[in-house]
Amino acid sequence: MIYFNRKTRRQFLFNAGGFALALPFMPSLLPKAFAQAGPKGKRFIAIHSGHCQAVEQWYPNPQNLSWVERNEHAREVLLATIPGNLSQVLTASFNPVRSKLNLISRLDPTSSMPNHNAEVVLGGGVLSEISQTIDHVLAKKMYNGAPLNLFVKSVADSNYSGASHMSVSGGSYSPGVSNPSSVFKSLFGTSGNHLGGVDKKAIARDVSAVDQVFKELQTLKQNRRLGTEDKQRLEKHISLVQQVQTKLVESSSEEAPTKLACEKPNGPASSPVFSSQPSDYGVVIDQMFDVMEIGIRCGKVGVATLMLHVYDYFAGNVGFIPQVSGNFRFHEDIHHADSAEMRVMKLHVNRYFADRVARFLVNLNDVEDPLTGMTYLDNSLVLWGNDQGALKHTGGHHSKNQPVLLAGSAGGFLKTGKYIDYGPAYAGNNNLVGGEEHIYKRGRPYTQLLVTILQAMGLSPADYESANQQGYGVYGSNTNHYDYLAGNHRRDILPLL
Amino acid sequence: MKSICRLWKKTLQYVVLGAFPVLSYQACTQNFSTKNALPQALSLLTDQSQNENLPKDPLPPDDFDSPTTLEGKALYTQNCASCHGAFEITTKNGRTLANIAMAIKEIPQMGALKNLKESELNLISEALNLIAKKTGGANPFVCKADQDPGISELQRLSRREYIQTLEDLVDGQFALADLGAQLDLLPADTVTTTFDSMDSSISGTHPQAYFAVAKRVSELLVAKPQWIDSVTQCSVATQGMTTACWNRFFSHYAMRVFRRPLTSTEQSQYKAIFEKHQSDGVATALGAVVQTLLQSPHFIYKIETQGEAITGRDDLLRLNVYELASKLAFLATGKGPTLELLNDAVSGKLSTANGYKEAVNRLFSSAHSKKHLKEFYNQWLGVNRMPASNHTDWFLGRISKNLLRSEALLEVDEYVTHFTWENPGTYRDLFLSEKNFTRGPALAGVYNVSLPDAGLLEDQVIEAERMNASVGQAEDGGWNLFSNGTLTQQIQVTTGKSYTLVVRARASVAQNIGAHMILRFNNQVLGQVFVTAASYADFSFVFSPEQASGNLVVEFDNDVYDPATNLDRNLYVDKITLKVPNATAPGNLSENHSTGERSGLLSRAALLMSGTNQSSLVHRGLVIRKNILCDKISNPIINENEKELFAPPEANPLESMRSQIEDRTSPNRCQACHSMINPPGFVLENYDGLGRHRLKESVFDLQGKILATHSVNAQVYPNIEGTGEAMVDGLSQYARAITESSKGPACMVQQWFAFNLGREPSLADSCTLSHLYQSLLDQNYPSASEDKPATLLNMFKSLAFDEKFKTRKVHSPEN
Repeated sequence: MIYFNRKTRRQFLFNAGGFALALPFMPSLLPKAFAQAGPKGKRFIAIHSGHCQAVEQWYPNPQNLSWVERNEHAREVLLATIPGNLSQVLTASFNPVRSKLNLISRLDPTSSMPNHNAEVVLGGGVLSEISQTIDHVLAKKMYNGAPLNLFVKSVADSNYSGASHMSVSGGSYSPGVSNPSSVFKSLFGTSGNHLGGVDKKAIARDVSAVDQVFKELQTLKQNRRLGTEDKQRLEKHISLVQQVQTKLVESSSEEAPTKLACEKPNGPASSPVFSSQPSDYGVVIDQMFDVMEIGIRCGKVGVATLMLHVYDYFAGNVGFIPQVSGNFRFHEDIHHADSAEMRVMKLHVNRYFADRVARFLVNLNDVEDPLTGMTYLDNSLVLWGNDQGALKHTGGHHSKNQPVLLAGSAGGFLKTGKYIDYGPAYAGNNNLVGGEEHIYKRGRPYTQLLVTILQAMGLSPADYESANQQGYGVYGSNTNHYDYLAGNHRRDILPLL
Repeated sequence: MKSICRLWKKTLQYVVLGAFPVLSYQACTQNFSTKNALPQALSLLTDQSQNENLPKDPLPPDDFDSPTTLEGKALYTQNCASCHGAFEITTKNGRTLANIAMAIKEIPQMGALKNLKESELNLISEALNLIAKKTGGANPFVCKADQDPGISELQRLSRREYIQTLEDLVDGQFALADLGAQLDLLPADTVTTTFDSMDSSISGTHPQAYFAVAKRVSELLVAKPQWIDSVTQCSVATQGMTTACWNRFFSHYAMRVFRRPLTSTEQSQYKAIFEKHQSDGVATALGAVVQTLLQSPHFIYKIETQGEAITGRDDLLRLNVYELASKLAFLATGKGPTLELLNDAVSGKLSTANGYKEAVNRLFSSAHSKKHLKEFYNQWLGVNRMPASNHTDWFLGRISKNLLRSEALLEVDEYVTHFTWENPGTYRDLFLSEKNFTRGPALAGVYNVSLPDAGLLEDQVIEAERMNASVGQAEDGGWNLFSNGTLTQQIQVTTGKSYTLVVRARASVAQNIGAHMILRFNNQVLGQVFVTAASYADFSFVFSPEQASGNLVVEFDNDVYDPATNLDRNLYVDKITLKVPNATAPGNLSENHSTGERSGLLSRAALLMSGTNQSSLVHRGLVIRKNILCDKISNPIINENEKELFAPPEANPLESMRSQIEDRTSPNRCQACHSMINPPGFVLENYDGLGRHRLKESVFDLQGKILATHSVNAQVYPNIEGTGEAMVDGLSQYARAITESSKGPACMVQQWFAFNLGREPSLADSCTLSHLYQSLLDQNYPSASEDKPATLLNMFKSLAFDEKFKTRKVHSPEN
């Protein structure tokens, strides 16, 4: 069993000033000011899968939704109001965390057309256009370190190295590592890792202060010169202070769950990388998620990326997925064929990924801080993206309408539980510009998502902007398409989140 | 003989007001507690020495001492006063027997009165008709000098008071913005009546917020050695917390937190906390002490239990000098006492009459006091709840709704500043002055006035981010024109005069060329310059306008942007200052508004603006009746099938808004409240949804086309103190009626009382209210502060000199 990390909680509680005491559990209710208190204690995880999502498989059917039109050239619907599964891909496995998700449509890169360029997800453009993806910016600014970049490679093939990766630094791909057990050992070593614990002295001071306040209230309540109603008010105050006392005592207790066991957490002793068994692919994915989870719980992972699928990875064969009947190559046979049959296969593949993402999110939705009820997921921001747009025609390379699933609120920075549509996601086959679009709903630039993430993690423009460019990412020729938003939106975060 | 009659009459008044328990209706507020007052009242009948101290006669000596009138007043007090106010200030004077009988029949809340006999109703009616004849403006509050004050409950600091007091306690070591996240946890006080200070409830998040704030402050303290040295007056890091350091800490810092010296027991307890955590470091241990102090109930609550028991009663206390210092500080400044004031208490100075007067005058002349009193005005007048503007563009015309809000609030600020401090004025000035405080073009547009002298009152500062921008974004306190584009602002000037325009700007330079800035007024080019400064610098242009109004334009026309080569040339504009020849300070304007159009505060935009194009007739009336006249008007009981009746009516080409409201509120059960609400609402129909004066109500279609106009009928019977008042025509006359009534000024002093003492005054507070009333209106009433009598400031200060202010009455512990 893994317990939460005291240091992390301490950072969260005390670096944020301790003010989060007994806040409501719903992170969307947390004050923005808290969420912006500082990056420490927050985590950012980006997950990538490629070869696009079919629009009707990824999104809820818009015809069945009770949309609320918003002034921000957008409409939204609460995920909680969507009957049944969220979508064909996002099935019931996401239900336990549905209120902590945000599903977004019509975010469109403004740059060159991606061609299996995973870096679009975190850079807003292709390699030739960007020098650094946001995972590196965040890791540097938040933890003065580098991100943990992971990619899944369970079967030996020779065709992955030239493909794109999600993370870019210094103008080059930053592929990272593909062996989860090695990652685990590098994080925790073999002799166990001692992360320290909660600042017991600080809690002791808190307890002293609250105990004294409690005593003073009790004494005051005995004052004969106070009226009955005065004493009732004090009695209520006393009971509320007692609640604070109780929580403080619990947080300093030696008993579980505050007793943390990150010293020797369980992790994968070995990983079936370079396996000849296709089914090992799933094992490695699960291990990757497990390692990230343990790293987060134990304060070892602040910023990480995980690529579930590299272009042409796995020799294209996804026959190991139970529902996929036959030896189909994901890229060649399924993705580019775009037949009805292959669209079903695509759904199976993406569901396979989705179920693992869901498992990861649900595991993270475990209380991190008993004082606030905030979970690891609440204090994190998880992005599941794709470098290609979700369109009706899934056989080509298109960038419009990148599928974005966000999970967690980054410590309350984001409102959650919504499907937000910044423009018609179902319009046209390939070209969403014009056509069925309303002139005032042309989507939003994908770069706004990057800016939103950066700010949600506590960074300010000065932390991520270059000297000559506001915002983050690539503002290419398509930028003018968003003039309808009026003025400069490069520093704006996405509305309604 | 005359004086004997007078005494007899005053005594009977007291009996009538206080001798009978008051019946409370379900939907009415019982404000005047008269429980157990009968024995005391009866004792007065034989104690004429007390009666000599009563204020001057508020009622004419007609038939008030007749047995039937007394009986009628007694019946009124017993059955009606809880909703309609004490007899002398009743809202129902002049009511006929038929009026009353109909009201009992129609108004559900009055159902309990159905058992009254017709003869009893007749007695009530006769008494009410008698009072309708009395002369307005007389002091309605009847004072008995030795009467206990009203009961004060234990009050916690309001959110506003807490924050302002905390700001003092951080000694300027950091801005409160650093506590923003923690302070966000502190819930807003619930405004159930008018003022935030009247909410003393404690919720679940209060202790959490106190905990979080205290902890954060202690962390910041620990991180600032110089602050630690300041609060201890010692070099703690080198010498530790010596006895001398502790003494200075307690007398310099802890005393400010508790607003009194700590007892020796308390000092020991806090030293124990320090010692317990001393191994964490001296600074950290001291931080724990401060963390505790700032959560203590002695900081959070205004505790008044240490005073001398008056005549041995634990429920009636004379505040000790520290409690008085604290109460005085909150009264005058809205925050806890300064060290100076506490030291006055320590030295005994505050216990002397002169020392106390000096402290009162000092506190009331402070900047904090001005802020505090302005807060009172804002909450009292309701302008702090001014609705957001949703007016359509065609309705606004050239008026900027963004500017209008700030200009309207500024006008109120300057209005009250002028009559409270700069040129101490009277209650009448608040409601009758036509002085022009217009600043800025939006308000000038609403009032249809020319801005005096050169179109401006004083040098006009135009913030770039408030100008109309064709491109760019707000940045760094200014506006970044990152592409070729313009910033535009409409201004008014006087032709033939010479102006200086100072543009504060900077640039990002590309290819060694600065940003080309052109300044135009309409088509008149005023100058151009290449801005190369990386930091903001001033660029001056002198010009003589060729037109009296038009667009001032800043243009940027040589943008360069090439991300590939990192080239980006931008023009950043901070502000433009239009320097006016012979600028005139606000408040010294030579011109008043047109006679009759802008009579007093009630006619100013901040009080008139509705959120939409439609005037808010009922809302306006309610604000005047509740806030200005202190009427207790309950929310209507709305049945499911009557919801439409209560929805705001739409503008109707066939019927004026007044006519629609009259129709809707004509049933008797509506008239109970709307006979009060409608008259002020109707007189304010001379002002549209922005506050523009009008003689005709226009009905528009959605595009702004006028479909119909209705002449505004602003004639009403004011019904301020009761029916039977002479008809008035328009706001000016209505406002005058308020000032000539007892009710208006009586309400203001009650509001000041409530704002500061955190509770509505009760009948037992009549002495205090009487004192304030005289201070507000009576030129011959001596001013304890030696301010000009009968001025607003004099009234504000007078509360501090009231003897009851220096005492506290609590619920009997046995209750």
